Amino acid sequence: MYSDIGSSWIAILSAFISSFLTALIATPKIAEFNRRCGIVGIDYHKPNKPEIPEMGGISMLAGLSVSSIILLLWYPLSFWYTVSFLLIALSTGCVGIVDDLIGLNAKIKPLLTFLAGLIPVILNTVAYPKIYQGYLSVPFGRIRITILYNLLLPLGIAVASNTMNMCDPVNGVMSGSSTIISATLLIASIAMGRFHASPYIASILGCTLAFYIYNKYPARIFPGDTGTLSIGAAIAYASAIGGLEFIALTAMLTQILNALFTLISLGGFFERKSISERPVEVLMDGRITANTDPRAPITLTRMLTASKSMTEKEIAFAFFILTGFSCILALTSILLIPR
Amino acid sequence: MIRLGLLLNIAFAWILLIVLSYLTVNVIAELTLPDGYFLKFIEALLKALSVAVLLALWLYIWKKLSKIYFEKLLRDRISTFSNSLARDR
Repeated sequence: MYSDIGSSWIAILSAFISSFLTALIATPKIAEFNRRCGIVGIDYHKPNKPEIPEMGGISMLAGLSVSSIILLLWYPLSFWYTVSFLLIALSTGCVGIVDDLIGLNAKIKPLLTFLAGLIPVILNTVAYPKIYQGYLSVPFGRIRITILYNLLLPLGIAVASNTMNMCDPVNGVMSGSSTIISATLLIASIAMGRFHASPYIASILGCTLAFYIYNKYPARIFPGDTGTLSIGAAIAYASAIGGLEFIALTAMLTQILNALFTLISLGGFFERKSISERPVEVLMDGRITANTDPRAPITLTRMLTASKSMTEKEIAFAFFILTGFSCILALTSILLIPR
Repeated sequence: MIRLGLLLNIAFAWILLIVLSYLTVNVIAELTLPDGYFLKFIEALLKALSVAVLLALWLYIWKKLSKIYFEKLLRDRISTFSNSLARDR
C-alpha cells in the first residue's frame, strides 16, 4: 500500500498507547470543566435523574489528535491518510460540539456529516499517491466503482456517525460498543494484511477504551454528539483506508439495525427532545421497561425490555453481546473476502 | 437475557448482505454493454440502479420480518400484563 507504516507494530502500539493515555488523562479534567461551565445532561435512566457532564467526546478527539500527530511525525509518507483521518474526526466532532451546545436540526446533522465526509474525496484529487482507488472489497470479489466510491464514502461516513449517535441509550453503550467494533476491525486489518489502516483503528480503540472507564455504569461523563459523531465517522473512515468496508458494515449491524428500527417507526429523522413518547420508562426501583404506548419509537432498548424490565447494567451488557455477535459475523466475513 | 430473535435478526441481515454482494459481484458486475461513451454511462447507471434495488429489497424483507417479531414481542408483553392483572383480581 502507499504508506510507510508497513507491518510496523510500533506504529500500532504507539497510536494505541498515546490515544489511550491522552483520553484517560483528559476525560476527568474535561468532565470537571464542563460541569463548571454548566455543560451537563440529565441521566434519565436513574431514579434521581442526576446531572452528568456532557460533551466528553472532546477527550476522545484529543486522543485521536495526539496519536495522529505522532503518526504524522514518524511516518511522513502516510501524510494524506493521517491528515484526512484527523480532519474527518475533527470536522464531525465540530458538528457534534455545535449540536451539544446550541442544538442542530435532526435533518441538518446527517447533511453536515455528509459534507464532512467529502473531505477525503476533495483531498484525493490533490493527494499523491491517491488515498483510495475506488475499489470495494466484498464477499466473493472486488468491485471497482471509481466514480460511485466518491459518493459512497461520504455517505458511509454520514451513516456510521449518525447510527453511532442514535445508539447511546444507556451508560457505556456507545464507548463499549465502539471499543468492541474497533478491536474487531484491528484484528481484521492485521489478519487481512491491511497494516496501513491498523494504527488509525488502534487509536480509536485506545481512546474509546479509556473513555469507557469513565462512561460505564454509573457514568461520570457522557460522550455527547461530539463523541458519538466523531467516533462513528472515524471508524467508517479508518475501515475505508484499509478496504474493510464490508467488515465494518457487519460489525456495526447492531447499531445500524437500531437506527433503522427507530427511523422506520418514527417515519424520518427527529430530534430526541421533539419525540413526545420515550421508548422506555424507568420504574421506581430503577429498572427500565418498554413503553407500551404505540406512538413510542421502536428501539433496540425497547425490544430488549419488551418482555421484562432490566437494569441499566443488564441493558448495556445485552448491547455488548449483540455487538459482539455482529463482530463475530464480521470476522467470519474475512473468510469470504478474496485477498 | 438476550432474545434469540434479536441475534437471528442480525444474522439474517448479514446473510442478506452476503447474498447481495454475491449478486453484485457475479451478476451485476458482469453486465456489459457495447463500447461507447453513452452506452458505458447507461451501463454504470444500470449497475447502480440494480444495487439500489437489491438494497431496497434487503431493507424491505428485513423490515417485514422485524415488524412481525416486534409485534409478537409486544403481544407477549400485553398478555403478560393481562395475566398479572387477572392474578391480582
